[in-house]
Amino acid sequence: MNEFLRGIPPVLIPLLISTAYCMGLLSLGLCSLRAVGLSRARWHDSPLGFFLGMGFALGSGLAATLWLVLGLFGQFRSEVVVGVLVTATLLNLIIDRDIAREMVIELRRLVRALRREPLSWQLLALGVLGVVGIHAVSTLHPAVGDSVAFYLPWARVIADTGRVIALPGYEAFSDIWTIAEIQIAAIMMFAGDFAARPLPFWHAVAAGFLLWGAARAADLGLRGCILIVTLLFTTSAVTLIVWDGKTDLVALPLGVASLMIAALKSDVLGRRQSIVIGLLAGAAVAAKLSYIPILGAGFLALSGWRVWQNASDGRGWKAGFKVEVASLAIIAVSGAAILAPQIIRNWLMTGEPLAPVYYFHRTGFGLDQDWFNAATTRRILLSYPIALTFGNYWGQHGTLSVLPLMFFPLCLVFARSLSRTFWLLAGIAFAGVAAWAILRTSTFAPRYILCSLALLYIFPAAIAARASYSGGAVLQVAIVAVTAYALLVSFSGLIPYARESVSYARGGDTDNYAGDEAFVAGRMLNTVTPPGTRVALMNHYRFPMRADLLECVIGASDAVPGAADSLQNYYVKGARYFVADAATHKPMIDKLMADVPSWLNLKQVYNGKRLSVYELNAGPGAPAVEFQCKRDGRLWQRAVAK
Amino acid sequence: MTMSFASDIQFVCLVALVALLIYTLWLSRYRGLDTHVTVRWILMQGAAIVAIVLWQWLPFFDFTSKLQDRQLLLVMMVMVFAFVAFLMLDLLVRVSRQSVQIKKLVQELAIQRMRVDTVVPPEVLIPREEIAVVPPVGKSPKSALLSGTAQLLFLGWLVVVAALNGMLVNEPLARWVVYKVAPETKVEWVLKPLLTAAYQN
Repeated sequence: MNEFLRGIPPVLIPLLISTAYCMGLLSLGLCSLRAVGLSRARWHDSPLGFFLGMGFALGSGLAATLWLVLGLFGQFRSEVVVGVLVTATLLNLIIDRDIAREMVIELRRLVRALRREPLSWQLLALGVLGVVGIHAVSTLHPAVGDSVAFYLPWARVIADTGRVIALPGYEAFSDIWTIAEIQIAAIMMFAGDFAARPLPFWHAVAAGFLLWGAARAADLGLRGCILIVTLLFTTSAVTLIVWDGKTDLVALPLGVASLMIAALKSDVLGRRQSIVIGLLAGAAVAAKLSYIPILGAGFLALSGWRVWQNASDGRGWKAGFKVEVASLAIIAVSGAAILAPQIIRNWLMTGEPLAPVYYFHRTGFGLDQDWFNAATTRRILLSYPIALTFGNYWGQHGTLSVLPLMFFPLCLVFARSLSRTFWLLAGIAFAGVAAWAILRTSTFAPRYILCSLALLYIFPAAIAARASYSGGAVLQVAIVAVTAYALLVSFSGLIPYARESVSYARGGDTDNYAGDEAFVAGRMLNTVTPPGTRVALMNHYRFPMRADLLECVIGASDAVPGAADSLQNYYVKGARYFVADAATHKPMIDKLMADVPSWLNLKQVYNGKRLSVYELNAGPGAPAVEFQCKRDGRLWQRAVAK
Repeated sequence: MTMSFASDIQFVCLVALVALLIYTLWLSRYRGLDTHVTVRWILMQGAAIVAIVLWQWLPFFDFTSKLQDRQLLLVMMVMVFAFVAFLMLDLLVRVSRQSVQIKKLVQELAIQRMRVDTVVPPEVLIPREEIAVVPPVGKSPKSALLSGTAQLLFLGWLVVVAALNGMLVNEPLARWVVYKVAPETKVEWVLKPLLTAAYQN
């Protein structure tokens, strides 16, 4: 195996492993669709891209739920993960060979259609492939920010223990529902953390397939398909998240797929379709909580439209209303079914079953977030479409593609005679964006509502495609030029990250990366500490640390009720090292350093610009150590010191 | 009511009215709204815009500000009712006239179709395969809207958006071009604070 891998460029190995995992997810999704009687034959009138994207999204949601259930029983192991995915893949290859044949036919059709297009559009198609490719390579860049603090360390702890336990030091935040992190943990278990990084990228690709399908379903032509994928991959809310390790993109195809099924099967939703919508919506909400209002608004808008359609066709609104209520009830029940393991986990772990939506006993981390004051909130609301493209607000982390704003004037001429499917897709997407803009104006971040925004891209794609087919010569050239400009900007923006990714990938792990102090200090700690060493952290960024160190970190259970943190308490609870980040915790560090007990000898073993690592050594008169970290099966946990 | 709150309301009203005005013009241009109806509405909207702009100096507002809530509500309701009733009566007259016209036209069309059908059967008159596919774009894709002027305006818009992209999101290529062409531009420093805010600001 190693001989085989040696021949492959190092940068491709993690991408290949994550591709294999994602093929497993696709197979699992397709098998599940077949199991509920919704094989490809039942979707013959829907584009293949949509069907594949939906299958992948469903597979992702179901796999995460299955891994979570296994984690609840302590049976989350690499053998089980690989076994389930390989079985699903083999099963799919045996029972669903038509899909592969259809993919080949579709690909040939695409190449033929592309040959008929002018050279400029052929080059644009190549450009889109190039941008998607550089996104793929950039995923191997060392993670930064929130993901190094919580999401990736949590996944590492889950992978190491085989259980979904709280991350020490982030106990309150570990209430969040998990779809992405548990899948990252699954890949980490059998292929290491390096191979897990491209997972969000593959979810973005699945969203690209879905949007391609949406463009096909709305009859936008090949140019519409190329434009909609360009729009997605020139969105900085996607571009930034692909390489920094955050997991927001995992929710994207889940949300888009659930909305698309509802829109494409717009005449009447069968019970099975409603079940699949509910599963996808439930998983989307579990992956990104902010999708609750936007998916809710989309489904309600669509149901309202169907009731109105029934009434205007003379079938009466009461019958339509009953059907819609039944469909929404099925969606809600199946959504609740996929959320049930998350609820049970929180119930067992913290006694708060409805966390993080509602807390019975404690404050929680608060979903009612107001990021800005009233004046700024009003300004955001008044400048909404512009702010989505050019805004630079706190916590925003990315904007939309500049192309929708560029194409906007075209809607005065070309936004007519478009298909009903187009208006349904655009309508439900708009309902979601509007609901968020009204309900959570002060929580302004396009990534929070990315599934509705991505689906709304069908609007600029449609009008630009129309203009490119039937507009004047100048217009046609302008559309190609600005699309190429957006692709160029996205590509050139990712080049530094891709370059760093390649050099990082050559080492195959984090050991050759010295670009961030958190990695350097973490590596140093990994070298000097024996297994089970307890470390006290005044530092958010802990992912570079070993799994056992992460599990043994001084956490909430070590705090003395009513008292502030102190070096004495850290020592008594068993800490042997103390990591201090002056950039984020300076006041607290100053307070600790002002009160160093006389018996405690602090030896600085790492001194960086921002980070310092101290060894805690006891002198005469030191109090007895109360706790140590001990291994119990696969789990390192706090135990009374002997 | 504080002064800033009043000016905020004034601003929101103006934005809404200007949007309405643009929408009316758009309806007139692309959705076939009658010219005489358009003119009436534009006059009404223009009057409303003038009233909002000059509201501190107009005697009417002086009068209404002296009224109590109930009186003000009554005055407003009567005025709105009178305006809506006028509008509906006007439209009903037009609808009634058009109903009569449509009825006459349908009758004439049926008579003409009957005459034509007796001479040539429909399938001979219009062979199915020869029916032209109507382009699915606007009523006249090659019309004046896509003329050179409109296309140049669109190009101008693209340049403006690309320049804003350079200045507001620091896209290096567009930014380099903007500062090469206009090194003294201050637009960035005016617009950026409007689209930026720190936490809890």
